[in-house]
Amino acid sequence: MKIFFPDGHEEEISARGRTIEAIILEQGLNPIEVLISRDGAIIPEDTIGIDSETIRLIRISHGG
Amino acid sequence: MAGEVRTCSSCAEKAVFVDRESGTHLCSRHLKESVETRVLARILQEGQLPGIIGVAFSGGKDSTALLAALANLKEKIPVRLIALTVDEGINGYREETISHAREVCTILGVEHRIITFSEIYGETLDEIMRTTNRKACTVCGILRRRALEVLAEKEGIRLIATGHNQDDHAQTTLMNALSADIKKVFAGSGHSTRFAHRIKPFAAVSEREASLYAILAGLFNDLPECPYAGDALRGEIRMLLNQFEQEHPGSMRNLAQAEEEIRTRLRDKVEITPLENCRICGWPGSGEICQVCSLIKKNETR
Ligand SMILES: [Zn+2]
Ligand SMILES: [Zn+2]
Repeated sequence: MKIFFPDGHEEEISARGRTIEAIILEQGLNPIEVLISRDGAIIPEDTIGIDSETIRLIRISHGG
Repeated sequence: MAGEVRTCSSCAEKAVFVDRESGTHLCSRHLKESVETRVLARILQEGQLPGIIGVAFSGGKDSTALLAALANLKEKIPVRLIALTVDEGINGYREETISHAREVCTILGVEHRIITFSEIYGETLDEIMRTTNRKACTVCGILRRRALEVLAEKEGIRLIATGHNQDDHAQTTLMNALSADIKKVFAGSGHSTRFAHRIKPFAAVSEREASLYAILAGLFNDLPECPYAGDALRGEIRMLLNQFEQEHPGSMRNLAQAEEEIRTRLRDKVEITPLENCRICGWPGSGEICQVCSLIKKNETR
């Protein structure tokens, strides 16, 4: 699946039937520090990744 | 084909959030409801509410979410809301975030007041930082706190709600515990009737939920980050606790709750040094000269 990372770079990652949480973890990001957007809607991280899909990770950065 | 999204545990809508501890899924409406219920409970704990609640509103996502939640609760909390923004004067950063803050208030129909560091201290944070070697976050924190008090006093506000969430609370607890100043940690500093009372309606709402709330309200903007380096220790602790929360869901909440529990139990048992009125500005503080005046005075001697 295609993933747009918070730092702006994008990557094609094979989902292999895993949850998006597992895929994010493998990329060295903490899933609780991002929200996942797919087609403009937020989806929970236990959603199974699908290779034909594109998701965007939104970093929850700190700031009052 | 879109991957299957789990259904809300309370209705047939698609989930936007999963509670990692309980495995409960929530849709947009139920997530909002869940956040608002916790905010309402916090506020009702206060008992009799004054006619106005000031909301410390930086324009960042936490305070944006808080302002939106309070605005959405206006039937259950029938008070006048006033958003209070402090413009510290940070070039290349505050212009955009202040204009976002203005926009949010217009959308939510909430009154908005802005006070600048220049008005109060005669200098912007950028200018002050040129003549001090203290950390920007420390300086800014001290001056912003006072600025908010000045603005609240001007507006006759006795109760200020701040956007601190459960994660902030947990981080502060650990930072304080590491500093080992138990008295300061759990008893807090002295009180004065001149200060507005402060409440944290998001104390039981995670940072993730607060951000999601702002997004679902359509008020989340990808705003620039503050150019000053943040508190390094807080950054490390934040990363550590997030890792813990990822591996042991519920840790963050437990830590935040433990602090509250200890604080409540220690109340009235630890002697707190009473505040004195500052010889220069008259505001209550610790020592003859308050923190604000010692900061500003140091600048003047240069
Ligand atoms: Zn629902
Ligand atoms: Zn003073």
